[in-house]
Amino acid sequence: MDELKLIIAEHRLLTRTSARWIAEWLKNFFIIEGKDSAEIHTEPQTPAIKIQINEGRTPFEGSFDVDKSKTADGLLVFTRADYHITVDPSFKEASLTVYDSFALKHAMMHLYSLYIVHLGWGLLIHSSCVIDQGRAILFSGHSGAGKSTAARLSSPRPLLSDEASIVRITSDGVSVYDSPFRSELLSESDLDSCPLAGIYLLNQSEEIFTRTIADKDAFIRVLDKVFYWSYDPAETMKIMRLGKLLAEQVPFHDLYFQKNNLFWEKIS
Amino acid sequence: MTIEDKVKRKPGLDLTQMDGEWILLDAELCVVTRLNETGGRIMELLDQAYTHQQLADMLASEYEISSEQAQADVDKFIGYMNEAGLLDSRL
Repeated sequence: MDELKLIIAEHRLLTRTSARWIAEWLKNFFIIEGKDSAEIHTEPQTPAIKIQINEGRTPFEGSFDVDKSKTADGLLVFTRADYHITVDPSFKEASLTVYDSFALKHAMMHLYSLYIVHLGWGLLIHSSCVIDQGRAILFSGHSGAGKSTAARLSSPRPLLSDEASIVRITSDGVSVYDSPFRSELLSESDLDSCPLAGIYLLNQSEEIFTRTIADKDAFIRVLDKVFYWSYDPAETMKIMRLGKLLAEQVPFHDLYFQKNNLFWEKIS
Repeated sequence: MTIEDKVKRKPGLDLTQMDGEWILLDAELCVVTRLNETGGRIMELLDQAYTHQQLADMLASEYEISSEQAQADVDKFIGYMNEAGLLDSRL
């Protein structure tokens, strides 16, 4: 049985698994407490959530839809063909069953997103995030809009994420943490977090320009960029409140861009 | 629903203001509804139960419009809110 304490942002996830490939995958993609002790990380604000991870389920069937239910003793259950999550409503313990590494990644993102909303801590946003002059700039948009392209074209600027950004939202400020949930551009892992200076919603265009988005529109447009599977109105209300706090504090823009790095000239 | 019936907004809704516009959050249905100033004011009042007539009287006085105009606006707006499932169905 492998026991690994993963570090994500200000959180600790204590995983246990008897499957060798699962332990190896976790070691490859996450920072492990104890193993990477030379690095500086934010102290945990909450006790670690305990996660048992097992092998099982069936291959991914092409649908990202998730079934939600509750057991008789109140546990929350989320099911997709290739993964299954059970978690207690206070988020102290969870159990995952996953078919392969694709399912494992998605189940971990799913659980982490539920967890940070439950804590009222922040949101996991479908976006890439780049550090420019000491501040984080986040690129979001619909599927295929160019989130990972924008991240690639931002080289050599460091990246905090290329697919799912971990956004800490408080009334005193918004910051982005280094995300282990990557699609292709791996973490450089010497970064921790960075204040968020702007969110750009991507649109492909012949001309390069930006347009400011009003807070009330930004609030609505960010809600469908959040990785989340609603199971309880009180939790959904937390997302709405976090989204509002985000829109009020961080400037949003539409960015019309071509697939080259000239768009950085338009980012203020 | 008749104009004699009392109406109230659905429990659990969250009403908030952004950029001078009202936003109504329904976490149960995962729906966000944007309202203009008058619509927001009516939903704010509907934290308590009122008849259409009572609402129209309050709006006529606050916005200095005729009772007929206020009554017509209230009837139309309450109809929309009812269709959208944003009123308390227990009344």
